[in-house]
Amino acid sequence: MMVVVAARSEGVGGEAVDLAALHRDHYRSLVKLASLLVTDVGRCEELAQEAFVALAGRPGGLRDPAKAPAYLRSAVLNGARSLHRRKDPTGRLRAATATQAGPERPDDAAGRHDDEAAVLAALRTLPHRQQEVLVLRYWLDLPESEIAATLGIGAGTVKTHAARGLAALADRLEDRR
Amino acid sequence: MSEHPDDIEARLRAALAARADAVEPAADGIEVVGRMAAARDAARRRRAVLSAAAAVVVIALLAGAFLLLGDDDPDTDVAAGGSTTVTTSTTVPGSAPDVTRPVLWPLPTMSISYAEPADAVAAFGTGYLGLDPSVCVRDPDPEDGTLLLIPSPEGCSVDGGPDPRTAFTTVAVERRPEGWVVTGAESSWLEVTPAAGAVVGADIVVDVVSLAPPEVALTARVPALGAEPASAPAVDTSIVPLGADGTWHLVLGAADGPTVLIVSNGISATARPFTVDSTAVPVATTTTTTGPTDDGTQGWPGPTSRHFDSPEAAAQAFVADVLGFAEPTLAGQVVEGTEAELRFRPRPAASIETAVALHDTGSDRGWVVTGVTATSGEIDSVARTGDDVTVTGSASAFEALVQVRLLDVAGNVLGETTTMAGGTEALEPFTAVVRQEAAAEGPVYVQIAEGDESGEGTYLWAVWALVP
Repeated sequence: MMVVVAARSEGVGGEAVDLAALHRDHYRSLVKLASLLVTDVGRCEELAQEAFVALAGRPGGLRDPAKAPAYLRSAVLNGARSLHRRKDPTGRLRAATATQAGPERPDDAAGRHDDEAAVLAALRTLPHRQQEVLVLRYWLDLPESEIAATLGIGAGTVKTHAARGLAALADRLEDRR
Repeated sequence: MSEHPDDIEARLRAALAARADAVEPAADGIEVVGRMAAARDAARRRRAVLSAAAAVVVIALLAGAFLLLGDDDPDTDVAAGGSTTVTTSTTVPGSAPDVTRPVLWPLPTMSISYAEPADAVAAFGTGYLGLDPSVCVRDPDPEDGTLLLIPSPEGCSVDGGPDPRTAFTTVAVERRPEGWVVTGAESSWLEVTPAAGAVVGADIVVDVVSLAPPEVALTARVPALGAEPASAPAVDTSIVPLGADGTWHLVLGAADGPTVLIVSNGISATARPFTVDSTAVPVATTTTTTGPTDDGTQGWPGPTSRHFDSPEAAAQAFVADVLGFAEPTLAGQVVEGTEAELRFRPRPAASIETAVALHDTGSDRGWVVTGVTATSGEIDSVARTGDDVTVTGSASAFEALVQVRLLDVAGNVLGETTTMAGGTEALEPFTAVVRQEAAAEGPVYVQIAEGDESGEGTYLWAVWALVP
């Protein structure tokens, strides 16, 4: 018996992107974006580089080169998410971080960065999706529609994650006081 | 009491900005990107060569897979809901060094021979793989038995190696008495892993990692070895994208003889022969089961684990430890002799229910859980190939996102993934492959579930089945 399978979506085609220009304009920002989700700065650079490698290899480039920055952001976020999963396939690491280490107590952190360190530590205890939404919203100042497009979720879901993430962040910081 | 929202927003902005300001990437990023792209392409070429040199990627399906297609025995009827076992074996190509590699091109029906490998590859690219005629043949390493098919819109007179921004195909060739022949092809953009596939019901499941974005069309065909690929019409069905990592899940129907799997993205393609060989050396075993057991012999907890004197105690422990309900609330129960069914809500205020079936073993094991059902999800089959467990079923969840986990008897997570099913009230089919990342003592269970809004691994409903 002959059997056949097929994968289906839209056709191939598009325009090549100017990788060097994209790198010049966005690489730094992408590394910084990764640094807000991944603690290892060296790994952040790798995530950004892998995003460019992925973009470089797209057959036919992008159908809309203007979306290249969004594509790169998505690639970095996906990479960060995958990194968390590979390091912590069972999700226990995050739970352990939340329950054992937890956000730094303000009086444990050093100098004037105490509060910032505590906020970042609390942020990293949130579910990854909430972290991503909060970073895109409060660091990149992306509108909800663009966050939704970057993460591949609905705008309503962005609002939900943002609201819940912010509330959880406030609660966790409050708990540590 | 939590602080004012404006305050936490301001603190978050300040913290993110401070962290980002403190990070300054090295200046050699673009050079590193170039090196990574080159290294990636070189690695792919090496894999392609190894794959071709390995002669044949063989997935040997023992008679069980084919019995499923034509078996009239009601005991092996998957649809009947019984427990079915199918064993498959995979051979290591290197274990049979004398095997002659199957020839993909030229077809046996063609009265043609090729004096030059480039001619064979060029004709193979367009005549067999169906690639765009703009592909050009390159032979960067005449000693390695492969040539490259490179898309070249500028024309084949323009020399050069593959552009890392485009896909290309590495084609394995051999010189035979009848002339140059093609024995395999590997796309630089498609990583096809039949070894990670599994038999699910009567289907072969194969993973394809496409480095191309999801909007790039993939097509796949499974023609008989020696037949025109076009004779195997593409059916636009049975493929499930597994997520943003570019992995596609091809569900192939079983074939009844030597066949070739061809996966193409239009400008590059992978073509590998599949050989049915029931005498192959087994290195992996796949077993398929449908639904949970019904006699308690393999139910939860395992034989060396805890003992429960009552169905409620067993069920309460199960929904809390294994299913991960945050505040399991008993909604109702029916106990008839040695059988029981208890319904739970994940929280007191929730309306959705999950039913837990139990059986009194009458031995020192006491009550055990034999199955879990919910109106929002069903498991049709579970199959294991090595560390990979393939689960099929249908489900409905918020944003269609269904979580799939492997658990041990204590509820420890051994592996997890997510898959897409239905996002409305209607259940829609899914197929997921989840890898067991950690060893387990005792039985392993697969759970499909819908996470609640916390995102912390607690669930609204769950369905559970034993992994064979």
